[in-house]
Amino acid sequence: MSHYKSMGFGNRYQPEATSFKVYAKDCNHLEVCLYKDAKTYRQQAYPMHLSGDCIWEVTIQGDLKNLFYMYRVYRGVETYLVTDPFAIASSANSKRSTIIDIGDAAVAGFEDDQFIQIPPQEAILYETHIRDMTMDPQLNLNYPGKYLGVAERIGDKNYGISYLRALGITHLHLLPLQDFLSVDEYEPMAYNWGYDPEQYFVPEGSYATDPDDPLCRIRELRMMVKACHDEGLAVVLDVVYNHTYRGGENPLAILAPFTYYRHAKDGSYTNGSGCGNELNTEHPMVQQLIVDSLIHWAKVFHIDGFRFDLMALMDLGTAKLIMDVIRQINPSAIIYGEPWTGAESGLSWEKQVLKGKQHALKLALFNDDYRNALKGDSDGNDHGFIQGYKAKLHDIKTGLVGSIQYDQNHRGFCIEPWETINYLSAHDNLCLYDKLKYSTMWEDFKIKEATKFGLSLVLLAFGIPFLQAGSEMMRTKHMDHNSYRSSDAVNAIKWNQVAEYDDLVSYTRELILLRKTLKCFDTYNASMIKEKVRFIDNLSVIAYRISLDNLVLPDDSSVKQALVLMNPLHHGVELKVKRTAACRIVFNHFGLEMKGHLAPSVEKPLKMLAFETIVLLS
Amino acid sequence: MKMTLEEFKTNYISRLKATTAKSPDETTTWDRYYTLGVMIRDMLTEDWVNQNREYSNTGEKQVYYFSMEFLTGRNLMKNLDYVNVKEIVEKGLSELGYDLEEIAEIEKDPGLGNGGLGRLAACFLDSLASTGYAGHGCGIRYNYGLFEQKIVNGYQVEFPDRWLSNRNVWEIKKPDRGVVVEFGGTVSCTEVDGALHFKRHNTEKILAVPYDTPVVGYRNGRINNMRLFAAEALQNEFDFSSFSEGDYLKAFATKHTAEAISQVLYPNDHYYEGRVLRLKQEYFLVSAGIQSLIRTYKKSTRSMEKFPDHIAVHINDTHPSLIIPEMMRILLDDEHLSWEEAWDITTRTCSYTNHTILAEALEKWPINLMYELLPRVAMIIEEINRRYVDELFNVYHLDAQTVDRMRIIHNGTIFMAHLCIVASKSVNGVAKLHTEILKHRELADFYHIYPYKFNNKTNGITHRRWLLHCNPLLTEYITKAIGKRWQFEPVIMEKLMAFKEDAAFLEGLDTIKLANKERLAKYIKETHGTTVDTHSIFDMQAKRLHEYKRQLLNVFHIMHLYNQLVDHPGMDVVPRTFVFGAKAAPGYYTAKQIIKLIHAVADKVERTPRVRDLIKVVFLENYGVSLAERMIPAADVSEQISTASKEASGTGNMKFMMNGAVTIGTLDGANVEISEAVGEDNIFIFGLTADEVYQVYHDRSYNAQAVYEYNEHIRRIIDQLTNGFFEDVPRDEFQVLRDSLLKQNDEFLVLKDFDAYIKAQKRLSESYRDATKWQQMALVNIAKSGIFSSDYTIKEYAQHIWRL
Repeated sequence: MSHYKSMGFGNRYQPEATSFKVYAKDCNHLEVCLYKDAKTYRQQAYPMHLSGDCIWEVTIQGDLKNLFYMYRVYRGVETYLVTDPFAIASSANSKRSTIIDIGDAAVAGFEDDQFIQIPPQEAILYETHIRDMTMDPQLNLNYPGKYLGVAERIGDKNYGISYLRALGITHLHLLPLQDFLSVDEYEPMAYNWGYDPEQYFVPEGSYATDPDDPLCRIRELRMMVKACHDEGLAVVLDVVYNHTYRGGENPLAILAPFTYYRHAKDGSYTNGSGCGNELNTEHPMVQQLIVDSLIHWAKVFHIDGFRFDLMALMDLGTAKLIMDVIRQINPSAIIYGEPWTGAESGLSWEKQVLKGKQHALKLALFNDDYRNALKGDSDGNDHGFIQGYKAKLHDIKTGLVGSIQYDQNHRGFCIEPWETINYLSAHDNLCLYDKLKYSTMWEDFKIKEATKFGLSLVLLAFGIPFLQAGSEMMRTKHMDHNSYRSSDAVNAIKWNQVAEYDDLVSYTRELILLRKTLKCFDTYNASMIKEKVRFIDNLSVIAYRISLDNLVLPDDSSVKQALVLMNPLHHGVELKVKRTAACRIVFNHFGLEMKGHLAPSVEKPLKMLAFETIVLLS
Repeated sequence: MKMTLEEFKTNYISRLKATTAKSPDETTTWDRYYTLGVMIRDMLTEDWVNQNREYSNTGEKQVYYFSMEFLTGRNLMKNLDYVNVKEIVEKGLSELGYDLEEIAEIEKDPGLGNGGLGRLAACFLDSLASTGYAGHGCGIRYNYGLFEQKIVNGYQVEFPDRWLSNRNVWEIKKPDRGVVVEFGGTVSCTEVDGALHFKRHNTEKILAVPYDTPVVGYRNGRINNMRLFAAEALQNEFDFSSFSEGDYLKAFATKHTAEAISQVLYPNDHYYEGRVLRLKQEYFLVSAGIQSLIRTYKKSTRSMEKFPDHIAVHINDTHPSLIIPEMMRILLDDEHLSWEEAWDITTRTCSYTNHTILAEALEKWPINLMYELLPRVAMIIEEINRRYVDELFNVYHLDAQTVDRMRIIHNGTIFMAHLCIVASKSVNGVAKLHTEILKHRELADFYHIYPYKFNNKTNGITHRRWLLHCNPLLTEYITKAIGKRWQFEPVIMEKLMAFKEDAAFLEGLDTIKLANKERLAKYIKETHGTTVDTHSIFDMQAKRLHEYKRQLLNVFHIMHLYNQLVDHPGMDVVPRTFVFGAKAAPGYYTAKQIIKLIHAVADKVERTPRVRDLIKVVFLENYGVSLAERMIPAADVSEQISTASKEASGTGNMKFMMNGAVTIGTLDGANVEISEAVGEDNIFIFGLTADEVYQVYHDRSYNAQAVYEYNEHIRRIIDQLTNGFFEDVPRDEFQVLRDSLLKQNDEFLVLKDFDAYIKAQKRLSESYRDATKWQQMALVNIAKSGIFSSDYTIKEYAQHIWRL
């Protein structure tokens, strides 16, 4: 049970009066300045009074709905004007906070909208960016680059949410939607991933059709979430609580110097994020900021899960607090993060959320060990198992069993399999196609087969699978290894590739379906894995048996066992596999066929193509 | 002037065809402008001629306002409005498919003046006509007016002002009224009937050809005259024999020498350029003008004795001061009056306005030069001086030291100001403070002996051009609130004070100001390429570039803000757009460097991400009447920050006031009277007063180096001039400015007033935040601005000095 107590910072609107509460240090005087619109510099200032240690409050009579406001900080001889870090609405480009009645941002049907109840173990994650998804010019969307664009349907064309639903993924993971500063909200062609947070409670304005209307972006995000939920897709947000875009001029730094950020002994900012500053998560005020905003996203927008950027910059105590609070609101929320920093941090090593710490926190972490084993390094020529580096087999096996403490020789960082996020690629660094191409220079046909192989290694492994959008359709970013502000030409998904690489897309879809059908991946814990999953060694291919005796498969209660065979070689092999007559191949390079093809004569060796995955049930 | 819409259209089209020999759809905008202009001028001509005749017949007293400069601005829209045909013309043109505004843009500003003095002359002519007095201007028709200013790489570059290239529709050349002006030669003295007769021989003769421009009164039927003289060679303009000998240059020499006189206006403001050509120009104007008006006078049968009863001659600054000896010369040599008679007439006719106390502006001519160029005039000046000095000793019993200070000629130099004071019946300053300074400090000696001559006539501006024309939105708003009468009697704007607590009315003012700012922002975007924030404070300084006007102080404020923002990121500063308009005299190096500095600061601001969102610095090229008409209605803040005691009056200050800008300024010139009119709550006054400035100079206690050393903000700014802070500029670029402050001890007290200025600016920013308070200030400024209409100034001149 969480013992978190929100202190209620920000503004509280009532038609008769609005109250303001803000945390501010070292100032002689503080005022709330009201503006009638977002552009004028004419204001009415209301002094605040100290009501507690560093806590300033004031209540202003009258209906202040839709007025804009800022805090005026008087420190020494200088004054500073800042937005409210706890405000839930803002003008365009984060210039002024807005007082709104959240009731005005109602969306039809949203009150009945619920969290998607898919437990984390059953999650299949798909990561994308709003512009990547919607800016393909051939789509002719009504709202390209906007929240509403994600929700659009285009007749029966393979696009968007319906496409994803059909693909079988369960959770749509979106790159940061918390208001960020690196994009001019009026500039239609501006692109940025958005790891540049400014206002944590406010949705980003450039994804709204009208950035000037503070309510518009709230409504439209809700509409998008509802559209996802209506299709049964959960929504995960990428949240960036490790740094802010600006250090010294951020409202946090101005309101309360040396509070919200970590500083070195000489007073300078430590730079654990690589972006110039890091949030001091151990401080109770930072916790207020993080937890209150997460509660806001969960309650106001029904966000189903959160992915924490550079989570090692967060201290364990705060991470635990967050888990408790979120799970209280949504028990099936999925929470995961990157277990590393961007650079040397001011947070001491033993407090960081690193691999190994996740079990106590009950969250999942990105498994860079498995990722590196699979495809090699992120941007260079290095080969992984897929490209043919056989020595990685050992790590592959560790990953396949969920990176748990499987046996003497295979010990991953997890206690339970749902603590690992297994993935081939994400938005950072080269995408899968580009990495394979760069490190091998193979022709596309071979890369496609290698991609299939890689996808099998992720989707038929224990642990939560994570797919970068486009991995299933040979998406290329033209070797751009850090496309955070490259143009749409580089980043946008080309949806005609769905048709063009239809075989790869179907393969992926069927892998996902197979994974779900076998049920073991969704349910086995570590001890069950240790008991029921056995590798067959000394083969030229990967082979492991999964005992399914306590599971009831749909359509078929007689299945007791699955045998997964994966050929890492770049040429075909023949295997002698002892099969009974009841064996059937349910999955091979043709795809999934649950009724199975009867194995050809049980005496005949099994032929496997290069990179092929074959699954047999018996 | 009655004309129906249809009449206009028919006439216009037929004239268009006749003038251009093209079919209407083939005509260019210039064709249409020219035709319209000529058409209007011709409409005026009838009344104009009748007016002149009437003047002759009634003998109504006329004043001739002599000025080397007339900065009239454009005439088309003004004339259309003044004869009340603007609406018909606009509609008619529109129905013909033409755009009046587009056509009006063709007219070039006649830039026949440097700054305030020239513009004052133009405002006065406008007021004379509109208040119904017979007042005419006399000036020079320069081929090239004040240079066209372009900015290249941050530096001012001067180009010839080709104001005549689109032809001047408004003037009418009167070659038959030409007068001969004589230079040089010798003077002979003969005795005739017991009297000495003087005659000039072997003079170089130049023909002064008058060009007359109608000066229309505002809807009152009155049309006065502005006569500008152009120089032409008199005899054999073309020396054919030289030409046929192959000496081309010599053949044209005479012509060129003659025409040189009225070629170009000297581009110095408040600075006396002691060149021969300038002296020639001055005499040219004066001789042509006086001869011309005496000739007109003599057409009537009145005696010369009655001359002062019918003619008043006004001397605008000392530039036309040769009026005095010239008038004496004509009365003595041509009319054969006695000295006493001539002197009596001259001193009862002439009046003089002093415009400045700055030493470098005082005209002084070497007596030798005068003898060489104008021998008879030099003789007369000597005689005037002799009699005057005699009077000083024997009538006023002054001591030798005082007399030496007061001589007209001293140590071989003629002090023109002294000449004017001695020979005029009236000497006026142009603002209360200025006149007091003249009486008790700069001209105290003269005040002591001629107290009755000294009087004050605070400058004014024509509210017609500076409010009705350039700010139609505000004009309409005022008219809706208090009726139309104020347009003829501007003090009635006082009635606006009733709206001081009316929130809706104040908001309306705000809306108008914002609309004006939007227009200027559009202009800035088109011409300067910069996007400005119309909600920011539009902070304007529009005037000639001069150390005494302290654009440098303004720039230091900007640099100070820059430093503050860089030191304290996120600091709360009300965003400002600083707009400058200023020309520097081409020879004035320091002023030109200040222009470069403004651009360097603008660049630096643009390069600094946090600062450029809050501050913009815009320097608009080629400041003149037309640009002022665009800029002033859009101003929130009017910078009037001269070193106290140096700006005699200022007139830009009144224009801004009338358009609802709030002034930040020193108690200098007319700022004092503006401050008295609006009250200290509605203006931001700072800095040393005139008395304090005099004290500082007297005590010699001011040490700029000390200020530099103990004031860290100032030190930082001054160091930034030369420490590489401006990246694209060599470090010694602004050494001259640094030296003027530290080595030459900051003559204009920029550093001394810096702190007070910064504080005042801060208070101003705070006030701007409060919409109600600010608009109230603007309202009070507008309401109280009526008294500064030049109509009232002219009435005072007319009643007290010229006795019209």
